Amino acid sequence: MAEAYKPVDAFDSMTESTFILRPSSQQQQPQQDKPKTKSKRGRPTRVTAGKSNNDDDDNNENISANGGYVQLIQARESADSMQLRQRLFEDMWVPLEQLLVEIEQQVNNVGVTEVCSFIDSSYKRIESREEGQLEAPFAEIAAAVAFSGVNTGDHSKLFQSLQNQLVSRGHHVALLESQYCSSLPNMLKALLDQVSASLGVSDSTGPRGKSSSAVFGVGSSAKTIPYDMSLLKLWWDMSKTSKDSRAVIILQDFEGFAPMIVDDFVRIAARYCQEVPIVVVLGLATSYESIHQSLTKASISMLNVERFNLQRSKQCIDAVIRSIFVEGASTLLFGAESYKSLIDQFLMYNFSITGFVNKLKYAVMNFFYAQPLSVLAAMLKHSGGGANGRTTVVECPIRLSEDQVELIRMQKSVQEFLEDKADGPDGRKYVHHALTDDEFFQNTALPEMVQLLVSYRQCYRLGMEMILAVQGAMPKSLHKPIHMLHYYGISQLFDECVHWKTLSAVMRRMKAPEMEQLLANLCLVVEAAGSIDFAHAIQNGVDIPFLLQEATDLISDPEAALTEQNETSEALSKRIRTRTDMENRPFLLFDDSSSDQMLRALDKCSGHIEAILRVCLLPYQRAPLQEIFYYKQSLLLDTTFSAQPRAAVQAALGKSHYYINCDCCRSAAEDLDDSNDDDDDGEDNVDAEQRLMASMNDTSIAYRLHQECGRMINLYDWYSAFASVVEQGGGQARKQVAQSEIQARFMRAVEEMRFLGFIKSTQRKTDHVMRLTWAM
Amino acid sequence: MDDNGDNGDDIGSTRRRAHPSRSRVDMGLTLVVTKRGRKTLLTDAAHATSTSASADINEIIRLSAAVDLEDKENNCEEAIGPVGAAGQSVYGFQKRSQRGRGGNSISVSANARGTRGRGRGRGGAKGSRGRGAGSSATKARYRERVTVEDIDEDENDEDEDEDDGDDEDVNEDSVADSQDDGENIGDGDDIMEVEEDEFGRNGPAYERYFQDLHTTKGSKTSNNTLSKLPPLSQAECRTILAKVRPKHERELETLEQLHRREFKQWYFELTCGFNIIFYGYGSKRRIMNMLATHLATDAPAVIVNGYFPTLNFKQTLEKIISEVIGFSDTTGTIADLASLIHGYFESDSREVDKMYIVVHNIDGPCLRKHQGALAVLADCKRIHMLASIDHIEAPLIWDSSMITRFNWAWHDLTTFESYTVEMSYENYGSESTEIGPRGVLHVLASLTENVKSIFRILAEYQIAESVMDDAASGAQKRPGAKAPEMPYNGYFAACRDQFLVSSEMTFRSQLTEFRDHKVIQSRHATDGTEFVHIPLDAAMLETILESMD
Repeated sequence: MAEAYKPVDAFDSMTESTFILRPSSQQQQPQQDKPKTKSKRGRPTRVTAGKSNNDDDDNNENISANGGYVQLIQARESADSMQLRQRLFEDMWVPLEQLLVEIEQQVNNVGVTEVCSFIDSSYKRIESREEGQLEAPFAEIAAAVAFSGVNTGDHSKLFQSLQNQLVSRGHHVALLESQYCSSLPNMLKALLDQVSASLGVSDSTGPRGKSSSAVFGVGSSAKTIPYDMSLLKLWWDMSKTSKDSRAVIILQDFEGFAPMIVDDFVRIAARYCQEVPIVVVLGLATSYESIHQSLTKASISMLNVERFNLQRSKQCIDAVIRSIFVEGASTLLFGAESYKSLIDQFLMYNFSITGFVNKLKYAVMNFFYAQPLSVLAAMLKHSGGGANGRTTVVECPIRLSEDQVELIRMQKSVQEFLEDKADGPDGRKYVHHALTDDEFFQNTALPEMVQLLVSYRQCYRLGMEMILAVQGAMPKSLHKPIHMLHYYGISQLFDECVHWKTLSAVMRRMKAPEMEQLLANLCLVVEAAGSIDFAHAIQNGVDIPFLLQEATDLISDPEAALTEQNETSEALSKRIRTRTDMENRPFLLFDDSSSDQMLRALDKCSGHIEAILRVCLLPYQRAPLQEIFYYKQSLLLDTTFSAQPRAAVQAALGKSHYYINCDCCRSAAEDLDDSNDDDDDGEDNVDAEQRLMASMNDTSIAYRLHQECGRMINLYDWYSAFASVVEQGGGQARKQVAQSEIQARFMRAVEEMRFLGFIKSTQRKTDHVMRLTWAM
Repeated sequence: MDDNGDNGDDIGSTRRRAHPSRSRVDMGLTLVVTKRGRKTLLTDAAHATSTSASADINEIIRLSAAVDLEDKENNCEEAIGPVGAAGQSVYGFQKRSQRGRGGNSISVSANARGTRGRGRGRGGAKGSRGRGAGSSATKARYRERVTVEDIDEDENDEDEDEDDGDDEDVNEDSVADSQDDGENIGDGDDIMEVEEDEFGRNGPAYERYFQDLHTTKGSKTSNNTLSKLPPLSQAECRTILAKVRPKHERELETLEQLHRREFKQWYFELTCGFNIIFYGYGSKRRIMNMLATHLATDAPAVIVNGYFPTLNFKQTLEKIISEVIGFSDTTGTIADLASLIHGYFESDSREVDKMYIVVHNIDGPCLRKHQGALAVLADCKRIHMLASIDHIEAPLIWDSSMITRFNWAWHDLTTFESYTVEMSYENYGSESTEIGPRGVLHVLASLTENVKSIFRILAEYQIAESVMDDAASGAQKRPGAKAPEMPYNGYFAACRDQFLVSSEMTFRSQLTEFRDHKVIQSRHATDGTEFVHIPLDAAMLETILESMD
């Protein structure tokens, strides 16, 4: 076997499984290999592939050039523009990432601080009761059980911050992960390594603090020490630790540890906890039950357990969405579809902030890497940063190329913007200019559009804040988290959204004092928002401050305000308590306290608020340039992060033309029904797809044949079917396919199917295999 | 009929030996009868009419039918009550065997002493399966008992009967007709029917659905074997396949071009901190190696062939440490080494800025248990990992925290290229689970005397067994019958007795080695016991043993 096999290329060998390519040696190595490969396999593909290889080498020569960025628009994009995109990505993502980290830390801090203060006070209680009490015959270890949620991927960050905070409070901390604690000695080793580093008793070189001590723990000096808890006691006594400091041992993923090991560890620790103030923190992802299930009663009784909840990912996601999407820390926002995909992954999958951030990052990467118009992001300048950041419009640092300008003009929202413009004074001239004169377009029209977009965003943000304020005035049961509110905001019109309707219905039932309070809050929100460009609102015929002011006046003095507004006498005389009103406001029947005037004023106020919200929460589809700044590639995100490898393989084998798009396998199908117009006739296509043809890939034929089988597949029968398919095309393509060739090809196909996991061999019956997949 | 006496017993035992399965069926059935709360009064076989010699399925069917009918006649409601959901089947039963009823309400139940003390559930389960090896019924003597139906029995008696059923597995025979002696012993159909009915009575009707689902073997496959084809060695296979023109060359090249255009994007993604995983049909090896050579202009790239059958991941890590990082001390466990590499690339005082790791088939058999260590490597910002998977269920090897560490960006890299290299280590064709005698000899040549003896024990056992088998069953041997197997425990005991192994652990490791080389195969029986055998026939084994000496 071994002697018959010849390695295919330099990275294939019968004895070696690992190859290392060095930057320096790279020059010679592939050059050497390539000719070899060609000659050895001597297959047509190899030659062609080899040739194209060389063509391509020019292209890919320095894969690292420009950080992998390429010039878009069929390479006609200017180098400046490409570099600008590259720079913009850095400019945008780095602070954003920073912000995300900060948010996560802030949210986590609440729980972390709780645990810390527990640890601070842990043994004090025990110490304080020394007088007059008998000492218990056994020692209890102070233990904190920290529920940290199912998003195990985020936990290392969480516990890292816990560790940091504990260290800053003067405790000595060991953070243990189950993967390094596969046995008790390993666990003690990891523990003592970290504690010794923290105590500074270790004589080895360098600062091996924190997690890196585990990392470099393989050093030679570490080996000689017998790892034992008595060593910890020794060190603890040696180093003059303050009275308040504790030896904190964090088991980050308690469920991952073998129960026996933790059990033994607790017993050992209990033995020492009177000399060394040991505090154990157990990180739990599931529930309290898991402790009871894994530890024995004896060892649980040695733990003096306090529970904490560190599960904060929902609060965290709300904070993230608020600052990034609502407050606009990110230049790139998400369209409704892709936002849903982003948030769904979080809510329905694993509550993982890390996963969310990764997806977000990938979207931002994709935006700057593949969208030639992402250079426009340079025109939005954030100042201040964070929640109170202002966005101002600046000039685009590079001249846009003809292609780019043309691309912008092609966007639907830009066309709508220009159409709107055309109605105004000098409109036609303006539009004409914008469409023909690139200079004018970039210098005048584009900033205007961007300004309008910025205004829209500011209004949207204001609208969101107001909705929050309105929601604040409602009973708790009506509250929705901000990630939902944002989804409503970008996906639905105000009048269509059920939640908004509910809110306004409740608002209309408010009484005067409540309404007054609400209006005051709304005014505060507007004030806090600072200087806002209301261009978007004004364009839609709503003057937000004015309306708010009017509503406030109305509510404070309904009589005066109403008369002042010289309402028509008819409107005034109309009774407010009509039948329709009764339906909307049944409570009015029992409420005589408020006058008609007041009711009228309340009605008007809520009308005003609705009008404001309606315009502020307009979905982004109306904003100019929205196609560019609202990310819509949800499919890309889904395939990159929730890929379906099995479906891909099945598609490749079952519906190969999606990948290959060849004529040979299709022609016969088209012969069959000439009128087949690609995708008009679904059923015919299905028929065509199911036709087996000799020109198809061998494995594909085998795969399609196996789909017709039951659980057990007879290899010989399978082979016969395969042979009949292969031979049927033999007439036109080749004279006669040799039996041995068919056999070899069949065997290869079967072996590939086995390799891919579609079948497995079985001994239930001779020469049978078992089918493992059943989906279509 | 009446005077079968002792003789009958003997005949019965031999019969039972030949058809152990049937006795199980009987037991199961009887138990059910008792369970149903039939008021059976077991008295001693004073007026025993029958013998167990004719222990026939049909008789039993008839018996229970008779009992049923009797019940029905006497007290309809009572009979229907306990039958419940299974009633249908029971009455179906009656009709079928009415002919054998013979009008009397006496049934005899024979007590198989050999099976005393078995739990009812177990007996029932076994019976329902209708097969199963070995039966203690061989020693069975039958005590005949007559069951007389008594209408006035009350609940207590029923309970007692149930207990009775628990204690003694009751065998039940019918005496109704004398024609039974000559009747053919229950054929397959009958057994099936009995099983079904028994099941139907035991539980609700829907269980029958599952019963059917699992007992019906699906569509029957033919008995053709690959031996009808001329044998084709692996080398021949390879030479033939090398000549076969690949299909869709042009299209596939376009596909490859498209993939290659993404190289820069992938590079960008790598620099942004994502690791890339490729999936899709076709060998991704060549294109990934191409990518690796491009990447290697930037930083050292390590290529790991995960499909390699004897890949030693520790050696891989050692190689990385010694050749990329340049440390001389490469001791420690895999986890240590992985975290050492991780730590190196995280620290500021490193000389190598970053590193690429290209793993072909990260789902490969030798890498499967090292995913944790791989995740530690991938977690590092300066280590960029590219990997490919081919198995359709491969993503299942990662848990959620590992997925977070890997931080994959998935890319479809369907190439339609054949897995020539990946599968060059596997055997094509029918022998894929076996190696020929030459292969066995080859493996044995490299083993110590002790281990050879371990092999010899099994081989000799198999030879002896097959000789016995031949002598015993002769023509009865079915095609595709199993080769003689040795129970694991017996094998271990035999080896220990000869001082070939000292502990089970060493024995197991030897066995694993044999298994890896496909010299010995093992199989778990349905009850969990392990059986091992050499997939060769006796004649072949003898030649091997001879050439070993």
